[in-house]
Amino acid sequence: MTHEDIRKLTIETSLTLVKENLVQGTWGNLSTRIDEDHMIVTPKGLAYELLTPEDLVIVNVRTLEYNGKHKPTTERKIHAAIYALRPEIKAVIHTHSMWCSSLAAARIGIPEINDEIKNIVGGDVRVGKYGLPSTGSLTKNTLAALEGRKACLLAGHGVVACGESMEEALEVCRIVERAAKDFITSKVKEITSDNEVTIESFEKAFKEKIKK
Amino acid sequence: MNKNKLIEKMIETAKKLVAENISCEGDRVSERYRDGLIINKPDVNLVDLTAADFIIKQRGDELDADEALHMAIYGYKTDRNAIILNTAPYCGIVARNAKKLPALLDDFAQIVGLTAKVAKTDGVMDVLSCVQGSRNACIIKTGKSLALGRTIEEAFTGSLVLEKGAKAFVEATILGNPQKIGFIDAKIMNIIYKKKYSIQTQAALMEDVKE
Repeated sequence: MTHEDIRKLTIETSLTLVKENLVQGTWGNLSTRIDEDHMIVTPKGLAYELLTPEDLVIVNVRTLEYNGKHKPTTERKIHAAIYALRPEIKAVIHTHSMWCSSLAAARIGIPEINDEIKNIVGGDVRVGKYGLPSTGSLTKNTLAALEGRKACLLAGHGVVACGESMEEALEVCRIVERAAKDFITSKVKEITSDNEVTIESFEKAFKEKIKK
Repeated sequence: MNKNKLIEKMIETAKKLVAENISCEGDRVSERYRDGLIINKPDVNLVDLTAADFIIKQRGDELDADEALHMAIYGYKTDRNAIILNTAPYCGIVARNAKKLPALLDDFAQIVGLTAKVAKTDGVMDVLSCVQGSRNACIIKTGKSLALGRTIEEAFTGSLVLEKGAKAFVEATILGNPQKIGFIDAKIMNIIYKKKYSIQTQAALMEDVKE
């Protein structure tokens, strides 16, 4: 793949994330490894719908020096650290997707509830300890939670997914979001005994919990 | 400010609220304009709004309850230029069952702050008391959500973050473990967002609607 192809694929994937409601606004970021020491990442604070291939930024994963007309995402440290530590990883996606965010808020991981989580993600999705955004501690905690897995939750923040290709990283995003939804709705079913979970079921379960 | 541009942006925002499933009939979006505001008429569905469905209200004009609330907020919060009063499902759950919505997620802490309060009524004084100081959003007991911004884009982001924060709070509570962002961490993120991260974008967006 040429750098141009990688840039185009990164943008196509970002638009898929928007379409599938896995990212909103300018939140989240994507990167692709281009060689042992470099990655192409999305820039800081630009809406995905407006991105052009030239807006993406090349960053050195060891020094974090960058080259591009925009600043790279503020979460570049996490992307760089994953590439530096995990040579098999070729793409990283960070999102604030809705269902995973709820689990991140509860700081509860996703158990190995289906074959996709087991076989593709590599096992239960752990939650990294809390760290302020863009800090070294968030990076360190993410790497620890991601060990041996292709996804982890970031406490109070969102989710990181990675893969041996951009297509796989995107699939991991979808898998963990679906699993997060299934996990949460199964808890609501347990509490309410509702067969079909609606917004009213969530209110009923919430009331039940705050009553205790 | 360029009236047509402001209206165009409000129509675009209204459609986004519908697409995000955080609106219903009767929701209102407004922008500060001259000595008053431009606001949509309440009886037209947000997705069907056209430029003809917006009205200009100045101080001294006859106002309905929502218009009076928007006017009072612009008078009180002089650095805010856009308001969204919408209806979102999880904010509705919080409105009916809690007194405040704490920050459990970083983006909420950055954009909304440490908490969003629930106003007891949609009366001007009750709502104003919930958006004092640097507060950008609140929920109203009646089930509505209110988000303010320097621009309509920022107010829209506030609406999204408020609903996502409400969903996270409701579901984390159901799971039995809602973990608040620490006070100092939340303050740091809120200050960085307002004083640094968003300054350039908001300045560019404000420039975009100038006459």
